[in-house]
Amino acid sequence: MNDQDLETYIQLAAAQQGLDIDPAWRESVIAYYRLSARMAAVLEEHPLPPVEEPAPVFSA
Amino acid sequence: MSAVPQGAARLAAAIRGGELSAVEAINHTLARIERLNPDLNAFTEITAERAQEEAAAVDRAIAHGEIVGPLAGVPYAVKNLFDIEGVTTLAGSRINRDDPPAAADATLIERLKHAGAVLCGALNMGEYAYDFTGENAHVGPSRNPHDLAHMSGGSSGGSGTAVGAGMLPLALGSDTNGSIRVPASLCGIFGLKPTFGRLSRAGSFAFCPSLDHVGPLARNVADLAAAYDAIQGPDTRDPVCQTRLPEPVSELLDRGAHGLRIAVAGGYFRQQGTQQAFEAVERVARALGVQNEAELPEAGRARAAAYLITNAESSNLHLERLRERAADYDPDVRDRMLAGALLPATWNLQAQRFRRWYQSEVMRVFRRHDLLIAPATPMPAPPIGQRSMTLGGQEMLVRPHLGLYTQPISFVGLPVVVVPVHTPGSLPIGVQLIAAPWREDLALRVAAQLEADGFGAPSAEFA
Repeated sequence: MNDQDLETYIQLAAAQQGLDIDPAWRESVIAYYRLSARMAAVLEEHPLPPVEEPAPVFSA
Repeated sequence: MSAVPQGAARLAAAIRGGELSAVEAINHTLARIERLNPDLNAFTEITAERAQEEAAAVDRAIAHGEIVGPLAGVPYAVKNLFDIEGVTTLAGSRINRDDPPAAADATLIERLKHAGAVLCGALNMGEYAYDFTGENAHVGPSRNPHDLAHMSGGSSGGSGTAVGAGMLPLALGSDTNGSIRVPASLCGIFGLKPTFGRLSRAGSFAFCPSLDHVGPLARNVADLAAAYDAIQGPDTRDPVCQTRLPEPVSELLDRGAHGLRIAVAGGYFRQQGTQQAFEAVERVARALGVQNEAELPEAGRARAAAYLITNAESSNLHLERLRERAADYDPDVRDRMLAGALLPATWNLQAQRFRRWYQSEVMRVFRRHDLLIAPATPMPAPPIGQRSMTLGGQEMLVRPHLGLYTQPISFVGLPVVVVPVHTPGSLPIGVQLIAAPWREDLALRVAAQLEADGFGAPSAEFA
């Protein structure tokens, strides 16, 4: 996503969650979002078969 | 009053033996805390009245010939995310100041009280535990007892500072991604992050429920083990706490490393750190006669997955507060959580699926090894206020990255003991001893052997 698209996404997704991001915080929020996106990209390079289900915390 | 013995085990023995009273010991500790805290900023609340009452109760029990617990009269304090009856649980925040005082003690505080230990207060921490530095935007940083201009590490920063400075022999902290192990490393003390689900988290303020652990920090292994033994056991108030009976380790410590298959963690754990971190690992490996290496596959991706789960889960937990009171957060915590609230759900789920894969790979490694050695932090304590650092030729923020060696381990709940490594004239740094799930005993045994070989908590210059 380019900078403009990401800024638009952050704005719309925040509104969808009922979050108000002050313009003064926006740059920092976007930087942290980019950091998470980099982490997600690192993970997506590693293919997982369907048998690998999410690790559960809940146990009955 | 005679000199107050150092260390929990020796102090408890002296109190049980009538060499000094618990009240005398506590008054000595409280005076020391009052003297040191203005500079160290370890405590956010000193529960002096309660401490004196608990100590007096220990003395009365001894006078009546009753059996007192193994930690009789031993002072300790807790990271301020643990509930203390009558005290508001801050979890490092400004927002929680508006909460009512806790109605009851956290489970681990109840258990330490039962063991005779005496609670002296609540300790500073990074806001809502989303921190590796020990800095706090609201009350100021907890400071490194070996150099006040440097970080304590976090988020259990006050716990590291207080034990590192010898204000107390014991403290409790929490560790989601490294928050016991990072301050233990930077403050030069021992810390135990037990197996996920071993110790009850009931009555502690959650950060990231699928990764949150709690555990003790201490100046020596016997004290660490004594505290750990006192707080084990199932607890239905924590849905993650397993129904295992306590498995005490104190009596096993003298078995040392004998017969154990130990390796240095290679690959990811040999990259990105500073020379001091790698030298510390080499010193520990040499002391144990370890030459071989073992690799935890894809540890870098494990770290990325832990980061994503933390970001997503913590934001979910805080969503209402982020809507209502975003301006009252520490800006670094707020901005990271705001970002976390906007992540696609699939990133979090992919991370949890990777967690499953990685766990089975890690267990394969532990079929061939009993213990792995890895750095605890990439460097000794950075100066307070330092925002970025360069590791492996890459510039990165300090706050999210100081735990890059701890995250891939807690991600799958492995038990770890941090052992301090100290070179005179330098700040200390810690090494992780990592065991298979439920084998805290092995990590503690090896830590005890290393301690006997000279790997101890250095005295704080400041104290």
